[in-house]
Amino acid sequence: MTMLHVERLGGLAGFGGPRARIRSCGCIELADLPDAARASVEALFRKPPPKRRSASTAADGFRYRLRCEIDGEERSIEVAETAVPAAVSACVHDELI
Amino acid sequence: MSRPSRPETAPCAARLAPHRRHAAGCGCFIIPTRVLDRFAQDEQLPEAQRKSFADAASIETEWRKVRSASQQLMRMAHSVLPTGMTALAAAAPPVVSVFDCRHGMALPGTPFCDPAHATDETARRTFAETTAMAEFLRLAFNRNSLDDAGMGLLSSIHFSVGYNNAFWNGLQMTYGDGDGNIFIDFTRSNDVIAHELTHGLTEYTAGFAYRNQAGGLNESVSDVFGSMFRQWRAGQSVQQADWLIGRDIMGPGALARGYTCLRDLANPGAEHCLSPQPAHFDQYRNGMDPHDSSGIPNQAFYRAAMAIGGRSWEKTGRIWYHALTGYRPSPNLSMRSFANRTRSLARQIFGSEPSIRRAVDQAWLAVGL
Ligand SMILES: [Zn+2]
Repeated sequence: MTMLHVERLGGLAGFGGPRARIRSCGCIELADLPDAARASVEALFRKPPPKRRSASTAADGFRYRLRCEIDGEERSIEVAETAVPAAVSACVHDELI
Repeated sequence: MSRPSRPETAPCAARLAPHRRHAAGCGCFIIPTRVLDRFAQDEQLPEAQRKSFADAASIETEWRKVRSASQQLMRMAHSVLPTGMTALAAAAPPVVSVFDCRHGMALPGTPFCDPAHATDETARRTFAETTAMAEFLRLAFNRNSLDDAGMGLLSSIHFSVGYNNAFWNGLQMTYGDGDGNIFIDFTRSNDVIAHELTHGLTEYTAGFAYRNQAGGLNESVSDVFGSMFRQWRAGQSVQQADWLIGRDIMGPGALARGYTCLRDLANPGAEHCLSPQPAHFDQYRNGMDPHDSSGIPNQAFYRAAMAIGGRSWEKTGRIWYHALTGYRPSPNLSMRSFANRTRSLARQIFGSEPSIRRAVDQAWLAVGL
């Protein structure tokens, strides 16, 4: 089983910033995702968007940091909200810290 | 070129001018086309999925072409039209339209035919505040909408479920309802509406990138114009203003914890901010989120405005407006270069008032620039 760790970043409120008092995290088993969503996530990890273009092109748009272990190695990518399947973005929970 | 006269309220999609119909019919695709193309050709993805990526890439390409053509056309019109005609075109105020996402994520959603009189309070508020922001740009800065050519202003409300955000995607504003605990309806703070609209203004003028120092400037001018608009709506002087961003969207859970705003231009690092920021350039690092680094120019604007006094949009705002709009697009402008623009403009615009030049200079020096 491979756990996908998800963190929502940015947005108008600056989620997840170093001083921010708001964050949004969650995790989901890759195997529990619908087939299409899992395929999308795997494709993102296989060929992540180039770093300069990985952030959202929308001002104040959310970004998502996706982290999971692939072939024994921890991998992390950052992508715009529109690249993230709804089943993945639904697993995060916004909270005050 | 004839322009439609201003309707009392925004027309329904079926009655929109052709270019506006195009915008109304588009979905939201902000994944880089290169990525969409790559997924479309990825043989490890199911056929149906590859097709949808291919369709998205094709729409995205066309959409970007329309946006680019529209910007080029606007620049060309300004350069070739006789002065009288340019003035005529610039006189028509923007059409303001509001769409309902009905808690889905497809943009723009379903249009409100008469948002000014809709039963939906969020629709009425979005229409009123967006219209007022267009009026603010016209009266305070002699500007007709974001592109200075009467561009229509499109907003979508009730985006997704319990969505704690608002954003500008290059074509329109989008607002969530908040989760009811940390945040409430994002249209409730008129500075948030003006903040999102100002991202459009920046895109049509300085074109600041959304990373590193230019990203911090991009976020800062949205906060600065957001706060100025809030002050203008309330008829406040710089002394009366609260200088807070997002005060009216804070939900009961956030208020109970003592968080009264997203950011505070007067005190960017304050404990009552949900996202405290640095206020001095020595804390700046490349790669910072723009919502973090914007605290530095935010503090400079606040300091300049307080020293100059009066109403923020009349003198300090005028300098910042020209620093944003009066130069060629500069996507990677540094904060120091922006600071120096405001220093030159203070001298050019208010040459007979050296105290203004000194106030601007001191404000930037205080934040290390
Ligand atoms: Zn912003």
